[in-house]
Amino acid sequence: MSKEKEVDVCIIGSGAGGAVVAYALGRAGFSVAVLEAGPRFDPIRYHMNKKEWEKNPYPFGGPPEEKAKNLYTYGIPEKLNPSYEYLRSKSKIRGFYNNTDRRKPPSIQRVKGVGGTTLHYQGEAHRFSAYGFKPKSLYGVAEDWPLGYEDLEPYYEEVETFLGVSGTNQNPFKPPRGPFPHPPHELSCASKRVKVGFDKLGLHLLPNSLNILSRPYDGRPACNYCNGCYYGCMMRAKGSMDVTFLPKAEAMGNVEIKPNSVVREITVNKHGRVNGVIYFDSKKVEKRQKAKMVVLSAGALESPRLLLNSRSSLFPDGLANTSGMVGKFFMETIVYAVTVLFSEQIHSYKGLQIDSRAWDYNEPRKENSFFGGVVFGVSALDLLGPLRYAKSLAPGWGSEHKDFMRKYFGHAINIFAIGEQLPQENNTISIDPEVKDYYGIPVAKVTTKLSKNDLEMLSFMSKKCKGIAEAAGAEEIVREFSSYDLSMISHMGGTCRMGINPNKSVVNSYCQSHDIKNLFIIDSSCFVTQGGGDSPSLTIHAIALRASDYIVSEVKKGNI
Amino acid sequence: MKVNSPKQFTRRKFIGTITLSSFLSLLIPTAYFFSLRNTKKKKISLTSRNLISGKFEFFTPYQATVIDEALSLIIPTDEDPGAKEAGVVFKLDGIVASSDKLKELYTKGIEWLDYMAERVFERESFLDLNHNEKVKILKIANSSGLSYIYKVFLFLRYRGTRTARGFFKTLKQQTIEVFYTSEMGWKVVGYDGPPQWSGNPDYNECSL
Repeated sequence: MSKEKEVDVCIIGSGAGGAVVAYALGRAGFSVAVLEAGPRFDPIRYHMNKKEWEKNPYPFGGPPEEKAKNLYTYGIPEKLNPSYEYLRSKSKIRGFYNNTDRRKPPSIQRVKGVGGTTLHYQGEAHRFSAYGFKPKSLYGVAEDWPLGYEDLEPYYEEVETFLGVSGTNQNPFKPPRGPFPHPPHELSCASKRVKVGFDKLGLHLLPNSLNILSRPYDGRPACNYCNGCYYGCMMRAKGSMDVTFLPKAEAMGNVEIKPNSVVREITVNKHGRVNGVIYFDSKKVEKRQKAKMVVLSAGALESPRLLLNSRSSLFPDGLANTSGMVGKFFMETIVYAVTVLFSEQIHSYKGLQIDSRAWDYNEPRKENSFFGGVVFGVSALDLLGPLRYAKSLAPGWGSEHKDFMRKYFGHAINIFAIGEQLPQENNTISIDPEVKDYYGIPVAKVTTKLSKNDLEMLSFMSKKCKGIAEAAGAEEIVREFSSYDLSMISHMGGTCRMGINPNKSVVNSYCQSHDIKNLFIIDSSCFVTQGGGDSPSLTIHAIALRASDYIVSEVKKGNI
Repeated sequence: MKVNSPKQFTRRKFIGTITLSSFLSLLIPTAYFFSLRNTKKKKISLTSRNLISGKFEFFTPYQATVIDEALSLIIPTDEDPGAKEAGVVFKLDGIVASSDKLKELYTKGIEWLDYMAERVFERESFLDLNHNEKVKILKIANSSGLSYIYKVFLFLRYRGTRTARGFFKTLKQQTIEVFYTSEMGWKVVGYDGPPQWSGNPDYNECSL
């Protein structure tokens, strides 16, 4: 096995957490190696300018030989609770998406590539509300984070400024704050149309806070509203990590990014400190990267997988796991969406993926039959061109099909809600020893079930989304998607939760392992809760900056 | 506002289906065996036909004409152009030529259309049928939305309905893909073309 020069810090993963740490520690003078499992993508080669872009818009699928092998397995899908049958996902032209009596396992969209999942995300840049960090103290449920909004506020501000986030501070449902670096994007015609329904129900559909430039900044142009955010931003207006933190980090000279490097194991010395990693390069050759410190930023599914696969005589249950909490409290995404048709042309394929949100239910309310926060939004999602309309919405063939296409292309929009799933110990990421990936590494096994609280939340989302559609004057609901029978996991969290008590958590508030002082886990796996339905990336950035400050300080003091 | 509510697959339906399937699983192979008699590939007379002209990689002019007719039923011509005017058949030819699996599927599919023209309407070729007759054949091939019993009936009565189903599904999907990624298809629905590089600076310009 070939060895490489020892670095101060080896970071595993170049997404929302790893990229920020690479930048912050590089700036502080550390030598840094970032091992990224996927390749580099060149935004100019994405597909949105190609004539046949709709046939294959998604560029992040990974090489076929890897895709052909297992990526993860899923526990026995749970039986559906018949009391909530009305929540089944369905389409006017396809019928039910799941005709069985069990929940359909998720197709988790993990993006391997320099920039991680930010390559694919829709650019939402949300600060969690103060409630999001203290649900137990404020409402007596779930668990508090070992830090509060006030601890993260300066880091939120720093990262928003760095990225050039756009938004409005006229949001009564969020803590008071100063102006955003850039003004909000104006709502699209489709969102303005749906806003009529929000208004009638007394809900506040506000411009979303987005890591998408509303005016040129830092050498990147403003958005031109192609709506293709999750197929990769060709303009570089979306501040994914590959066009923001990472190029600046690499330009420092002491930060090296190694694409196509799949880490198999984090290694430890006889004193129980991590001393590097073993990884496969693009030719599947095993290599070793020595490091004085390891930062694990592979996400809520891959981070616990790597820790649990890194067993040794010193750590027989996996690294950082003397508490037995690695992989526990996995939190998926509770989602409900309706696709509606309007009789008038709203050009719903133009604009931004999620230009607006309603935070009215971001904090729990006494009158709700469930606990937790829910955020509503408007999005074209997949309905970005005629081919998608033809395949997903248009009925049959012949005149019926053609008439529908002429009448409704540009008239369909999704009204959706995302809610937080309360942490449950039995929802887990574990290792499936029987199943291995392309590199021969045992894969993660996802076990997740909905609680009664989740189902009540979905029920609320369904009623509200349909109510908004009706109040907006939508002609017809043609699709419904629900976490009830389709497990749709986009915002994952938990699995290496932070906490004060080393017996009940994996890392401290600075993402430092309780067990191993020179091991940090900096991604959404350290989340204790999901912040009332807000998107996680900005909070990952903020905790990464905060952890980086701590690392610099502790190294200076000689504590690490 | 209309709310879409598909019918559900109940336990009673499930048990009924299982019982029927058990019975048919014995009957179908026998019937199918007998139905395979008289399936000799017939020879179509080409001399009097007005065949599509052009350079094809895989299709013969006759096959191309049959496909052109079939796909013009999927996206028909009316006051706006359809799949025929968009030249979908030429693009399809290239797609089919690149895959042995597709070559076999399309060859069998075209043979099935001619077989059905003879079996149902006693004509030599699919091209000899009028509009409604062609639609009827494609509806049999499509079979979506038909009852289970009627599907079984079709399966027993006509040979190759399973292949036909796969053929129609592929033909429909590929016709749609080619048409709606063509400039003519975009014009029909009022789409300006790929989102980049021009973007949609007018995204917020509306009367609302």
